[in-house]
Amino acid sequence: MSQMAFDPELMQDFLTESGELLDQLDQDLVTLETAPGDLELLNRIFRALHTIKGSASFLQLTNLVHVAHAAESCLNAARNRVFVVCRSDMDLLLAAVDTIKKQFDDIREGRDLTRADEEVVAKLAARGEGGGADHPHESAPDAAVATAPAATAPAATAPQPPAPECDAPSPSEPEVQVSGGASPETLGAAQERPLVLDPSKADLLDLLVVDVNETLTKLDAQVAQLTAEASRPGAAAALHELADNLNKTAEFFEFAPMSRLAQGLMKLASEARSHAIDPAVPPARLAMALIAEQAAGLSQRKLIERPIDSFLETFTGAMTQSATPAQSPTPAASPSAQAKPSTAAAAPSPASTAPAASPTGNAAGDAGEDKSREKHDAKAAEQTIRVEVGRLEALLNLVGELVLQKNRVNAMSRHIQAMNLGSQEFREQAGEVSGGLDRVTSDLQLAVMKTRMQPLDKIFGKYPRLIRDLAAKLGKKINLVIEGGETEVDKSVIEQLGDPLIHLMRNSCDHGLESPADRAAAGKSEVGTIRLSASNAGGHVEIRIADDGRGLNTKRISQKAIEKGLYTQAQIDQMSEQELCRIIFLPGFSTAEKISDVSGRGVGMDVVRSNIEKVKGTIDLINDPGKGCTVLIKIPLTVAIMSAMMVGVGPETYAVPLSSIVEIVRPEKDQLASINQSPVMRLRDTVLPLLQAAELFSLPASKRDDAPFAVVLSLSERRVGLMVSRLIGQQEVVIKPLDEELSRTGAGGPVSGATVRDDGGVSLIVDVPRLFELAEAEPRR
Amino acid sequence: MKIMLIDDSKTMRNIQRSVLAQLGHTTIEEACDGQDALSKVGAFQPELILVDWNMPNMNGLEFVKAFRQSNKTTPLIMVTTESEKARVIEAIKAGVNNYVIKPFTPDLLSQRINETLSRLAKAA
Repeated sequence: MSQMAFDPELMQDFLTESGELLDQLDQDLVTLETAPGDLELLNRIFRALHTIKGSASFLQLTNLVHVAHAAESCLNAARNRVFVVCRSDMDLLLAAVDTIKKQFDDIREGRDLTRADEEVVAKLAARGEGGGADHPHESAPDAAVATAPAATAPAATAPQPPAPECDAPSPSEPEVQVSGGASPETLGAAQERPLVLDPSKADLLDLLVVDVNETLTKLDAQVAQLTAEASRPGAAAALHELADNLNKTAEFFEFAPMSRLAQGLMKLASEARSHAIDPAVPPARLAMALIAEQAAGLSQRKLIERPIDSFLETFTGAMTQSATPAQSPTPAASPSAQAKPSTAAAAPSPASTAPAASPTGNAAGDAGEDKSREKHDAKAAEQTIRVEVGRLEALLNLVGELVLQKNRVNAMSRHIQAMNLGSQEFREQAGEVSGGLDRVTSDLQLAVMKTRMQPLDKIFGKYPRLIRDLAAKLGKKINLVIEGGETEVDKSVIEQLGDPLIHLMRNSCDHGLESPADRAAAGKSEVGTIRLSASNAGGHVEIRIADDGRGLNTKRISQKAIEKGLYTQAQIDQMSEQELCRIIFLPGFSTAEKISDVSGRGVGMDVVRSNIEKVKGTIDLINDPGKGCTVLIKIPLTVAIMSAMMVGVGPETYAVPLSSIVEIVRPEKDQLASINQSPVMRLRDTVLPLLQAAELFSLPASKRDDAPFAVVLSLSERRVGLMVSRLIGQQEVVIKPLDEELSRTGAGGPVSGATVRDDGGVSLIVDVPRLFELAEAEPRR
Repeated sequence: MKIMLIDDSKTMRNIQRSVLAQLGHTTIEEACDGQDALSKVGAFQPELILVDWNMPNMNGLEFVKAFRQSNKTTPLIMVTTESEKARVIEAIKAGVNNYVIKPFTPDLLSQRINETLSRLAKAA
């Protein structure tokens, strides 16, 4: 193997393809636990592992192959119905999958592959061997029959069972007794030669001998049927096919004498069909006896040959003249012997074209149903191509640039109209071109965004496994309901969402849901439910994680907040329930009594929040004490381009995300007031804090001017007014990230990025969540 | 020589393609399962087919059976694993001309291809 040099791309392909299979495996295994009898599912799981193993073996990932092989053999035994998958099997299989995942990480990181836990591998392998159980289904030939040198009684005494089963062993008699009494000796002396075979064929030799003997038994039954008028056509067809199979096998092993005999039998079968002749039987018996003799020789690694040339000649010509009447010990129309093999072959299709439905092919044939339906799916799957993320990234960036250019063209067109530049015709055309460019660009932008959209199932799919493991670890009973997994969001958002969601789910399991006993005491069902749902809501996606546990204990949250010095008692007293709940999002806050290995991993809810905010999302809580808690996350469909309201502050222009703007008002004097020296505004029946944009962005006093407009921003349920000097208009802005240092220190004020305006200038984009932090921190300082 | 690769794993197809490329074979058509292959053989007219056993929709054995109904001559090599070896005879009876066990070296594959072709040439 070592001389094979593979393209690193192959390894990359492997990681991508097998990585997807692995993700699916996790889900499928958890589903399997609830439906251990689902053969389709078992087959799919088996195939996935099989594929991973196959590729891995080429790439010489021996540690991976090792564990995959063990898992595969366990699954193989399960799908062969040696046993039904139980919980401990699941644990083993999941452990194996986990190991493979680790090994994938190792490959990505360029490390040596983690070695599998030998105990798991050994247990899986033991399960694979079925714990002594036999293989009643498709692996019958290798498992049971291969061990016995398959001597079989004549068909007359053995009604054929539907599948090749372990036959009654006849002690050390490696010959098939062919009924009819034909003796090979009549042809002349046998020559024996040692058998020389290349290793690949030698490996199969024992299997071949078993198979030949099986075929002979079947041939025997068919030949017996040739004597009865009614069953003859069917028997002849079946005979032809069996002989054809035998011929193919013999050709593969290059056993010319056996192959010639098989061809002779084929000819005989054809003749028997067209000529309706019984006397075909004795030569057929002799041919079979010869084949049996050869097979017996093969099992001892010997080639046995007799002079058969003249005998073979009789096959074509001799039928019609051979005088011996058919003599057979078999009752002619034994229905049990006839039923199986001939039904397939008695169909109108001519025997010479070897009908596909081989009577022995039952094991393999059963997978072939529902093909047309699945075919369609497979076709759809093939209609996709893999594109490097980097290329999509570049494409999106270019679209971003295009949007900026479009904005400038639009601005120029507006300018042309406003200034009455050029002829009437020119102005109309400029307007048309600019409008057309606008439409095409938005369509293009949408199309490109769609290429980056991925269904949330990509991350949701991992949670059943997570919850299963957590429930087991915590001794809780948890039912996870997932809804709306097909909802699509931008790839970069998906990537950022994974960890926060896991954290939130862990929290729900660990802190939210009570133990079965506590639940029973509270009059709830012992099984707690976590409902993870996603849905599209305008320009963003809403994700809810709802549990029916005990809900947040705001008293304890308050205590903790005071203990940790986050707030004073006085401040706490002023806070609403909702505000108290939100304390958990503050840095350094964790109510867990002790660090548990489930959710106390040193990352608090503040990390969750900041991760969500990184993708321009918002997070909030709906607490229903005693009944449960719902975490509500809103994320934009994409993070790269957004609609913004451009506002002027002094000489500067800022972009405010349109999705955060509730309304824009020009407050009258009597609407303005101050509480605790903080400016507020009365808006209808609410009071909201006001922030001066000029202060927020630290504009020098000389550049500050009157700020008559209040842009009312919302974050979840909260509202704040941002006072600005001018309203410029709505624009699509392309978010350009700021220098990391700048955004981390917040030196430029609450800004999340920058963008190029339609007039070519640069504007900062207001970071709404940060702005709320400032607004809310202010009065409590 | 025109070779068709039938395997549901893109990785496996790429690996086999690279092995075949090392042997100087570059006219290659791929199919992701038996059904897909049946729909492509007509247009491609392969001179050799490498077919995997375990595939969704239509597995290798089913493909061989279906393919052999209309085509008795094009050489077929079954690509199998150690664990499937026990069933190779079944595939041979269905019309496979040879088999090769994964993982294989370019040498082994080359040997199997030559072996298959020369045996067929002898038989013809």
